[in-house]
Amino acid sequence: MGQYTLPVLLGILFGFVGRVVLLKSDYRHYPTHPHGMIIHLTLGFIAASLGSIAVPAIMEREYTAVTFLAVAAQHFREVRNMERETLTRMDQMELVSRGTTYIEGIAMTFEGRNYMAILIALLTTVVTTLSQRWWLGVLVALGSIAAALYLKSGKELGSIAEIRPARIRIEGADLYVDDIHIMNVGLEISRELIMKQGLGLILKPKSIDSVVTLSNLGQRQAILHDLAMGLGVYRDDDKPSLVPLTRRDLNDGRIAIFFLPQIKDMEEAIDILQRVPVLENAVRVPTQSDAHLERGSVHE
Amino acid sequence: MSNTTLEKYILAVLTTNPNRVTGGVPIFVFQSKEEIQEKIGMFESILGGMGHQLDHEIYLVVRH
Repeated sequence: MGQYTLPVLLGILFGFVGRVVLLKSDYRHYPTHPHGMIIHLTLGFIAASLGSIAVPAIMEREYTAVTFLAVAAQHFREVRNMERETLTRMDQMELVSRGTTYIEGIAMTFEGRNYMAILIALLTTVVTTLSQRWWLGVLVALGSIAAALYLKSGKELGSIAEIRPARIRIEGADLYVDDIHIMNVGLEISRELIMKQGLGLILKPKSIDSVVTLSNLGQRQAILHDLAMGLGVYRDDDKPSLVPLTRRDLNDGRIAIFFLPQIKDMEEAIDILQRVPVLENAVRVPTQSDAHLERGSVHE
Repeated sequence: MSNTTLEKYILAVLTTNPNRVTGGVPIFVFQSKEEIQEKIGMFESILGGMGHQLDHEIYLVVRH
């Protein structure tokens, strides 16, 4: 086993480091620490170990070791289930829920990042074992961590839509953001509160693809949730008339956002919106469909 | 809220003109529009629904 000790150790080390680097808790405070962090770091360590130990097993012609990786995949699918279950349960207690699309996205990310840890560990161990040079292994490990960091970041809302402030107005009992109807508010006190505390924003899609992506209800709920995380929300469970909403203009696909924040700060709201992740599960690219490509860009 | 909650359901109708509302919904008759405005907030809180104004006489409390 002597010849494999260093490669395996390097693999575990860098696989784990890769997981640590990819584990980022931000203003949304997820994963929670300390315990949420401990769970994911431990799983990351296990993933790294699985990845690097598979290499010497295969080198020693123990081909059944591949099944080992299948067990790992099974195990990390459980991670996804665990995250989904926790988040779904917690979502019922949020004033502005994340929505299932956002939750699926987060759960998928956790599963995917464990596979990244496995791959980094595997690659490091393979290179170190075959080249017999530890520094080459380290180089490849650092390279793959950098690649993972580059690949992990998805698109943000600012890149698919133009975000601008909009005026809130009430006509009779109807609430509008710019020219888009939001809802009918029966209670006069609520109308006054809305005029005083409400924020209105318009998202203008930058392409046909983003029109479809933005129409997704999960994506829209994610936008509201992130706004609530960033600015707080001015409502309680028994005040349905103050619930934040998004509505869509059917003609051009613009999205109107109506929101009552605790901290009324339009610039910060725009800043938060710029950074809302575009959910993997909401992305649609109709312009890439065969039907569209064959007809050329007639509709653009 | 649990998953068994009814969605899109009229919980109560508040009106100043009972002649225009019938059916299997709790109907509350008030003397004036102002009186409705005074009470409808309480209806929202108690029933967990949202108050909508249909016209100058009829208000609905709806669970969404």
